[in-house]
Amino acid sequence: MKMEILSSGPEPESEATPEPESEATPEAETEPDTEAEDEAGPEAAAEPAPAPAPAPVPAQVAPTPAPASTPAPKPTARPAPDPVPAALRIAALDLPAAPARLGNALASEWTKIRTVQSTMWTLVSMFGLILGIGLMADAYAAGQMESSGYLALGLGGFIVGQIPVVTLGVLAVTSEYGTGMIRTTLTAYPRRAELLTAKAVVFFGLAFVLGTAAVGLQVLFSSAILDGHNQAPDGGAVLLAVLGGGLYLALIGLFSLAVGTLLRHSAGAIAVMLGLLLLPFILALFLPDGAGVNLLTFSPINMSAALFGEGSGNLGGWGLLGVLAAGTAAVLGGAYAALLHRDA
Amino acid sequence: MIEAQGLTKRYGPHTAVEDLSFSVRPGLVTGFLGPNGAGKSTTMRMVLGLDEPTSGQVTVAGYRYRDLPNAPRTVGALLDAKSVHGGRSAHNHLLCLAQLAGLPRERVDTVLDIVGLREAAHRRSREFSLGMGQRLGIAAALLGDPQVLLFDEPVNGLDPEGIHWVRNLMRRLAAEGRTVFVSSHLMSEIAVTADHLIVIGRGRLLADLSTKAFIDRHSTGFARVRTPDGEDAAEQRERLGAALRRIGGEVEQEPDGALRIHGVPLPRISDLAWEEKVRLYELSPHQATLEEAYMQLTHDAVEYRSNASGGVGDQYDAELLGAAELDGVAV
Repeated sequence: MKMEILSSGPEPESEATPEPESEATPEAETEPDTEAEDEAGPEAAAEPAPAPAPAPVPAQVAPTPAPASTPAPKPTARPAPDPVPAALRIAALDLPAAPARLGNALASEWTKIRTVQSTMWTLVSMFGLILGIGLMADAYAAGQMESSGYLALGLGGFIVGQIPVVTLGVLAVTSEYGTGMIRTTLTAYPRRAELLTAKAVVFFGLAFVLGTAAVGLQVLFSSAILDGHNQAPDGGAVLLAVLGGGLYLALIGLFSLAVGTLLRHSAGAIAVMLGLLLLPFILALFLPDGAGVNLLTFSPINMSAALFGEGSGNLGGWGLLGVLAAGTAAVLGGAYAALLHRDA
Repeated sequence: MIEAQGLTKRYGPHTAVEDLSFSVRPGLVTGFLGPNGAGKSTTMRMVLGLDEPTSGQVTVAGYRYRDLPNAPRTVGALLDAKSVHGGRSAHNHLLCLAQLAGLPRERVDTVLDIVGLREAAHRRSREFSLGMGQRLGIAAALLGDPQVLLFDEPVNGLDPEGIHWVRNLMRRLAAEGRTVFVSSHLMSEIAVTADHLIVIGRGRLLADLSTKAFIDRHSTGFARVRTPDGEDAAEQRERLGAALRRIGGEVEQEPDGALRIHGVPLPRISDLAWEEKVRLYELSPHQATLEEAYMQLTHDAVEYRSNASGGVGDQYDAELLGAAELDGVAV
C-alpha cells in the first residue's frame, strides 16, 4: 500500500518501478493534440511538431530523501512547469473579450427554457386544458336552447389552465435550485439581479404570447361554433378576454416564478401557488360578509371570471389585472432581495 | 490569483471556515486538501461569490467575485459534479453557459472536443456516468478560456484513464500560466498533481507550503531492520540498537519486533551489525508515506471518523499523534 501511494515520492525504489505517469501519457496526449491543432491554427504550424514524448516527470519528484535531521529547505523558486507544446494549448485565441450583458443573459435564459421537456409539457397542458374544456363547454352550449354571450364558456378551461402556467413559472427557477444548476449559472453570471430580470422577461414573454394565443384560439373556436346561436360579444369584451387573459396568465406565472425564487423548492412553491389560486375563493365562503366579499373580489378565480365578463366587484377586469400586477411586482421585489442577499 | 484574508463562514453556531488566509498563485497547480467536512467546498463557494463570508474577504484577480468585470472570461469552475440540469443535453447545457458569457456557439463544440464528450453531446446529462458528468463540468469550466480555474474534487468518479487525463489537463493549464486551484480529500491524488498545497482541517489552515517541502518534511526515510527470531533475539536487538544509538541513530521498536531506524544510512547499519556480530534477516529502506504525513497533520481535524482502525494501525496512529505536536507544519 505504501509503495503505491509513493509512486512519485522521492524514495529510491521509484527508479526501479516504471513511473506510471510516463507509461500512459503518449496516448493521452495525442488525443487532445489533434483537436487543439485547429484552434491554435497558425501558431501550431509554426511550432516544431510536438512528438508525443514520454510525459515530463512531475515537477515535485525530488531526487533524494532528505535525512531526518536536515531541516526541509523552503523552496522559493520551484522547478519550472513542464514545457507544453503550443498545439496542446486550450486557449482560444479568438474569443470575444467584451463582458456579457443583459442581452446575453436573455439569450441564455431562452435556451434554458426551450431545452427542457417540462416547458413543452406544461405549455401543451395549458393549450389542452384551455381549448379542450372550452370546446366541451361550446359543444354543451350549442345544444342548449337558452343562449347568452359565449365568452364566459372559456372560463372553466382558463381557470384550470392556470395550473400548468404556475408550474412552469415555479420550475423556471426551482429546477435550477433542485439540480444545482443555479451555482453554475451564478458562477458564470454573478450579477444576480440581471439574471433574475432575464429569467422574468423570457418567462413573461413566453407565457404572454402563448397564453394570449391559447385564449385567442379558444374564443375563435367559440365564435365559429356558436356564432348566430349565441349573442356575439362586443370588441372590448373580446380584447379583455384575449389580451387580458394572456396578461393574466403571464402575471400569475411571473408571480409563481417569484415565489419559486423565494422558496427554492419545486413542490413547496407549486403547493403555495395552488393554495393562492384556490383558497381565497373557498375561504371567502366562510368569512363574514365584509371580509368575505373583499377576499372573493381579489381571489384569482374572481379575477379570471372578470376577464370573461363574469366577475364580481366594481374594479372590472383591467382593474383587477392592475391589482395582480401590483401583487406580482411586490413578490418579485422580495425575490430580488432574497436572491441578492442569500447564499446560493 | 486568488487571495483570501481572514475568511470566516458560520452557519448558526457551526463554524465551517475560520480565519482562513491564503493565496493561490498563477502558473501552479495548488492543491486544496482536507478531510471531508473540512470546509473546502464552503471556501470554494465563497471564492466564487456564491456564499457571502461571515467575515474576511476573498478576491479573484483583485476583485470580489461579484464585482468581476467579466467573470466567465476570468474564472471557470467545476463545482460538485451534478450542478447541471439533468434534462438538458450536454450541448445545450454548455450552450446556455456560452450564451450567458457572450461566447460564440462554436466554442461549445471546442470544449466538448477537449473533454472528449463530442459523441455524447446530444444525450441528456441525466444519463451520464459520474465520470462523464465530471467531464461536462470541466468543459463548462473551460468555456470562457479563463485564467483562473477552480476544480472541486475533479477526479471523483473518474476511471484511471480519466484521472490521468484530469491530472495532465490541470498541469497543462498551470503550465499555460493559469491559476489552478484543485480540492481533494486524497493526499495521494493531489501529491502527484499539485505544486503547492493548502491543507485545512475543521475550517482552519493547517499548512500552506510547496508539495516538495511537504514531502521533504514529512516523508523522511528510515530503515527497517529485522534480527533473527530465537532465544537471544531480544538481546541481539538491544545490542544493535545500542550501537546505533551511540552513533546518533534514532531507534524505534515496531510491533512485530523489527527496528525502525532513522538517521543512519543502510551500509552503516550493516557494518555496525557485522561489528556487533548481529545477524540481519532484513535491512530495507522505507519511506513514511505522504498519506501518513497527511493523516498525521489532519488527525485532530477529522470531522467524521470511524472507530474501527483502518489502514493505519492503532499503534502507529498513536505514534504519529505524539510526533504531530512537535513536527507540526509551520503555518
